[in-house]
Order: sequence, then C-alpha cells, then structure tokens
Amino acid sequence: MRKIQIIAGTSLLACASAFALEAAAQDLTVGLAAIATSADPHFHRAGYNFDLRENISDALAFSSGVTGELEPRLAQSWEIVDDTKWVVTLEPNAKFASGNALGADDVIYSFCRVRNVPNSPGLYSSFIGTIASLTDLGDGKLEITTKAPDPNLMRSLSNIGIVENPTEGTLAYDEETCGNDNWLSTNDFNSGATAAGIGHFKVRTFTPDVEIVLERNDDYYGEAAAYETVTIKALPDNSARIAALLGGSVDVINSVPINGIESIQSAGNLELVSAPSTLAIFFLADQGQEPTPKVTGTDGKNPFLDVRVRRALNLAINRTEIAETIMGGMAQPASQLIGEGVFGYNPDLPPYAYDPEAARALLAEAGYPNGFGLTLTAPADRYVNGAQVAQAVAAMLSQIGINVTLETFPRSVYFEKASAFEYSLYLAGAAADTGEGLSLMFNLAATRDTEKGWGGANRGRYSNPATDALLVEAQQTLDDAKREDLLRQASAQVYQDEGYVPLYHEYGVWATKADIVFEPHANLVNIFYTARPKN
Amino acid sequence: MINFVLQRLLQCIGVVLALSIVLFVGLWLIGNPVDVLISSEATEADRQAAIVALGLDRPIWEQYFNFLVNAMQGDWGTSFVYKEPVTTILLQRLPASLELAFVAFFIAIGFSIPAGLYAGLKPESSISKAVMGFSLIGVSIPTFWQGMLLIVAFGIALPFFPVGDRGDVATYFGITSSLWTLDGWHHVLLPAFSLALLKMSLLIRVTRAATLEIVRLDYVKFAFAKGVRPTRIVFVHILRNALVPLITVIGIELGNLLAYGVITETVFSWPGLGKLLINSIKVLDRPMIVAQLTYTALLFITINFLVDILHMTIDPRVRSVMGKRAK
Repeated sequence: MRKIQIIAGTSLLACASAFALEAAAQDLTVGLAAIATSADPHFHRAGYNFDLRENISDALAFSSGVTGELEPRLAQSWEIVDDTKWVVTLEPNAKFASGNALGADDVIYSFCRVRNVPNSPGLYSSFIGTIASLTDLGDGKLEITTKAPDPNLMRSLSNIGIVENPTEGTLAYDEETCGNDNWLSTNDFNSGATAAGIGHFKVRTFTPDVEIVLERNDDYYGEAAAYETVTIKALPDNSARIAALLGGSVDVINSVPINGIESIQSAGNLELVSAPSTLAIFFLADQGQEPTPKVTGTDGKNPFLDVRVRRALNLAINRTEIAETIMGGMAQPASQLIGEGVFGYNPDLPPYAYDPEAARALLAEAGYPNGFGLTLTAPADRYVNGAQVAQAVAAMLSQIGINVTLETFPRSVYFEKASAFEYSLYLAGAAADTGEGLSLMFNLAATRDTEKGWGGANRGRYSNPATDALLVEAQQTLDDAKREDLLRQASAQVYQDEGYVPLYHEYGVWATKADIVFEPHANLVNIFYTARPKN
Repeated sequence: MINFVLQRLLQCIGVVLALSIVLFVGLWLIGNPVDVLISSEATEADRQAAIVALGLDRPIWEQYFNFLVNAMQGDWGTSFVYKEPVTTILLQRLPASLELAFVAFFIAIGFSIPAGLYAGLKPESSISKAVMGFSLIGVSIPTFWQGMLLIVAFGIALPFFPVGDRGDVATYFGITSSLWTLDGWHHVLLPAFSLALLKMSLLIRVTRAATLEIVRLDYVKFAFAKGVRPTRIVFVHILRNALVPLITVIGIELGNLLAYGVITETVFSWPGLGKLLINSIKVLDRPMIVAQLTYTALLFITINFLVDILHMTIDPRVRSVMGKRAK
C-alpha cells in the first residue's frame, strides 16, 4: 500500500517495475561537502542546517528551489486580510511523533524559541523580525500581524521549522522570552530525545561531522518520501567525495568540483544534475573611505569613488571566459545580483560588454592614464574555484593598466578583515536565502546601516538614496507585480551606478548514480524526500 | 626512579600550561569565529547576539581563566559549532582514530622490523635491495597522493576495498570499535596500509642502520666464533641492541599516527580526530581546537615518558645514568 502512495500518478506498468526494484530502493546514501551541525531546527542559521531542517522539520511553507514557487506545508493556505494582517490555516492532518495534532500554539512556541536558543552561533531571528504579534484564532487558524507591510513574510517563515510546544498553554508572543523559561535543549534534538517537528523524515542517529541517519516518517501528512532510510555522510574533501561515488559507497554527492565533472561523465553509470543557483559571486569596490587601504600611487585618492573607474572594472572582465574555462561552464555570467529565475530579476539589463579598450579610456578620463597599484583580495577556500577566478580577474585588470597583486586568505580570517574595511576590491558571494530578490538587495545594495539592519554584507559601502528608496517601497508593497517592478528598478539603479562588479551565478552541481532521480534546487538545499529510484 | 617520575610530571604540567596559553593567544589573533559561523545574510544585531552567546565579548584573559578553571574540573568547554561538550565529541571520534593508528602501527612494525633486520644482516642480497628500494619509494611519495593512488587502484579500478567511512561497528567490553566486525576490518585495511607506508619506510631504514652497526661489533663476532646458535645471536644479541634507537623512533611515530593521521583521514574520509581537527580549524571552533591540540601534547608527553622507561628496562646503561641523575 505504501509503495502505491509513493508512485502515485505513474502508470500501472511503472508500478509493476517499481515493485521489482523495491528491495534495492529502500536506502539512499548521500555524501555531502558539509552536513548539519545540529538536528535542532533553530540552532544555527547556515546553509547545511537548512538542508536537514527541510527534510525533518516542516515550516509553514516551502520555498521551492526548483519552481521558484512558495509551496504550502504546515500552513495549508494563507490570506492577506489587510496590509499588516495575515491569517494562516494550519494543515489539519499534520501530527507530531507524539500523536498530537499541530496547533497554533506549536507555531507560536516555535517562533518564540527562535530567539531563545542558548549559545547559538547565529540565530534565525531576522526571519521573524517583522512579526508584531501572533494570535491563536482557534480552529487551526493563526493570525499574524506584522509591524509594517511585509510581502515576504511567508517566504521568511519558510525557514523556521515548527516544533511541538512542550509547555502547558499557548505562549503570549513578544520579542523577548514570551514569558517562558522552559526551552527545548539543542542537545535533546541531537540525541533524539526531542523530535525536530513534523517532516518527511525522522532523525535516527546524529553523529556530528560524521553522519546523520534519517528514517522515513510513515505518518507524514503529505506525499511520503520514496526512500525508507537516508544516510547522510560528511565528505568535505572533494576527491574523497568523488572517490566515494565512483567506488559505490554513496549514491549521491553534492558540490561536485569542476575538475571532477569529467571523471563523473566518463564513468558511464553516473549522472550529473545541475541548476543555476541563487548564489551570486561578485567583487565589491571600496566606496566608503578615502584613502582606501589597498590602492597605491594615487596620492591618497580612492579611485573607486569615481563611477568611471568602477565602469572600467566592469568592462575589463571577460565573464563568459571565466564561466566557461575556470568554472567549467558551471556558472551563469551576471550583470546583476539577482539571478535569472529568481523573483525580482531584471531581464532588460544587458550583459556587460568585454571591452578592455573602453576600460582603459575610462581610466584615463578619470585621471589614471597609467593605472594605479591595487591589491585584489579573495578568500582561498570559500567559493568554488574562487581563488582561480580572482587570479583571472587580476590578470584582466592588469590588461587595462592597473598594477594588480592578488592576496588570498582562508575564510577563517577573510570576512573579519572585510568587516573591518581592510580591502579595496574584494571577492564575495551572497545567496537569496528566501528564494526572492528583496532580502538579497537589502543585504547587498542598501546603504550599510547597522541599526536598520540594512547592507549587512555591503562592505564595499555602495550607497544611493534612490536605490534605498526603491527597496523601502518594495518592502511595503504587497502586490507581487508592483513589487517585482520596483526590484527591477533597484537592480537597474545599481547597474547604472556601477555599484557592484557582479561576475556570475554559480551552478549547484550534484552527481548521482544513473538509476536515481534527484532534484537540483537553486538554493543549494539538498532535498531527499523528492529523490526516488528511476522508473 | 620515583624522583624521576615526579620530575617528569611537573615538566608535563608546565608544558601543557605553556601550550594552552600559546594556543589561546594564537587562536585569538587568527580572527573572530563569529564572522565564519554567521550567515552572510544575517543582520548586525544577529552577529552581536552570537558574539555574546559564544562568550567572545569578554576579554581574552577572562576567557582563558574560565577555560583553565573549567578544564581542571574536567570540562573542556562546549563546541561553538555543535554545542555538544567537546569531550563528548572527542570521545566519539577517538576510537576511530585509535583503531586506524593501531592497525597501521602493527602493519608498519610487523613488516619493517623483520625486513630491516634482514636487510641489515644480508645487505648484499637482492631481497634486501628490493626492500631498500621499496622504502625509498615509500619515503618519497607524499601521503595524500599515495592515498589517492591506493583508492583509485584498490577501491575503484579493482574494487577489493570499500572507499571511505569506517564500516559497521560493534561494542564488546564497553569499547565500540569497527575492529570487532569483519566489515570494519575490510574498511580499515586500505587506509591503515596507506598510513603505515611512510612509517614503514622510516622504520626499515632505522632498523637496518642499527643492525648493520651492531653486526660489526666484537661481541657479535665473538658469539659467532663461540658457536652460539645464529637465531639466538640475531634475536637476543643483535635485535635487542638494535631496539634501543628503534624505540625512540617508534614512540614518536606512534604519537604521529595517533595525532596526525590528518591527511589519511581526510583522503579516506575516516571519521577520526584528524578530520575533526581540520574541520574545526576551518570554522575556528576554538574549544575544539584547544582541546584537541592539548590532547596531542599530552599524548606525546605520555609516549615520551613511556619510551624513557622502556629505555631503562632495555638498556642497562641508561638505567645507571637515570639513577645517578635522580640522586
């Protein structure tokens, strides 16, 4: 019976062959470059934890990296009552492992807990930052009031796993402790004493940095997963990960390194699956101080304050060449921060021309006919082939007369130096966590302002009040079409200001055994519940 | 003897303390772990909250003092990344490293001492030359490359051995190890051989050199002339004396195996301490790094201590020297 559920929607013939495959198709072993550091859905906001959370602890919704759509999960539906009021109808069939049905009190408890995880190295709290109050309307309905209109409320909430409320009543939501001091402990999630919530899978064993074993949740309210158990192994070393797949000890691996693509393709029984990710890779030019630390030969002037110099940078880089050769075709050249297919992408912005002649002329016009000395900075181990890309860019910038030297740092020290504004032109990346462009733009293109929470990753300090105004307006626009238009205008403004030097959007690349169907997600999340045997 | 042990213990405490200070200051200089741990999309307020949550807002001397006080009570802190006590994680990983190190150790010893002895006794034979050639290759190939080669050859091209991971584990006598299961042995052999290869080469060379030297000594010639059985000469007179320099080398090598199987563990994705150390350093998980390096220091100190004692039992000359110093 279970089997029929899994393959619902396929033909009877396929059904028969699925029965034949059943014995072999129960277990999936996956080798990941980084695995979750905790089974606690609220412990640490980091990519590898989003992964596990999505598989074991459903949020109200799921922001699909395949379709770009927001799919219902624990919220069966939601409606916008007025600018700041939302009513969410909870999934009536969702049940926790304890057998209790999902209630609004569980949602309120979970949102309260987000701010109350002791010793968290990075809370999820900014995802719920716009919530003013939560009210249990009874009948499985929850009212959410936001402080100001928040068009991305449900997308933000799609990152918060819902756990079962262990307290007696319903907490009264506030931004501190909700009047509660009985918080579930992270260690209990890891040891299995506390279930992570309602998900397609349950955690059977969790061994930090080694492996996580999941088993299917047969009481799941929606479509069940195809595999009975999923073993997630930590294989951070690129060659070890590929060797494990070639040797047959794992069925699927993620972040296939560029130099491993060929060996996978030639293996015969393996397949590559890829999708353009939302991860934008770009350079930031220091536009916030004069003099700038890593530029010499300009008599203390910061050349990047001149828009012509920034345009010269954009024209000097051959993005197609970088994407094709260094990234092995696993990158999409970019002229804006938001990737194609993501909400807010502006299709009208032309790609940057590769024109070193024009770049040199612009430098001369700006008063640097002989260029200047520049140290380009890049992380050695953060992005796929990041150091090599920086090296290529350094060579391209020398072509237009800038005297470039390259320095790289391990990521353990790189971002701290970036936050202290110690670089003049540096490589960085940012992904659209929420599956839409607004939060990405606020984080990168809005004027850096700690109090407002703007420009957190805008360490180059690009700033234009016009861009800020567009983003603020978008933030208050609940109408999707209008908001998308505002985002497009903001991207166009950044483009016109040469505020960034976007390079490309990385592809997410997975490799699987040929008899497995694995869906690649643009947000690089590894979803195991849609994986299934072929046929 | 007791005097000597006490002296040694005091030295150990001094070394460990000094090391912990160096580590703490060094890690503090490297950078702020929060910038590595926090999501690039997080707000500044979240960042500040994380700094406070991890106790990084306090001055370094206070952090060090807290660490010291807790460490004395057996609490080595909580991992920034996993939020589990560091000791729990280390103990989870220790068996994997130990079993890899011991299997590698026995492969290395089991092969290199007989081979080195033979090469020293019959330096001109063609087998000896082959052994020495092998050791030369072993010394000169870098471990990571040799490991990859072994994986490609015996894991993928000729799939005799599984690639990566530790295999099934079982628990007997309170010890959870993969060495209790056939599958575990199947998994451990290839990485252990890879790890043993470099050590083998070194041990063969040391054994051979020691043997060559001793064979020429008068008492060996005299023993032969006296008509002592060759096996007795080799195992009692030659081997025992050759062991003196060997034990020092073996001690250090055992320490290396236990603490620095980093490369092999990474290449073979063996879930041991070496892999953990590398991953901890990458994300600047300070409590994990401090605890692991302190463990390493303790390990080397203990091994050196044991080596000294072994020396005393094997070599009477050392005993007399130690005895004098202790007075």
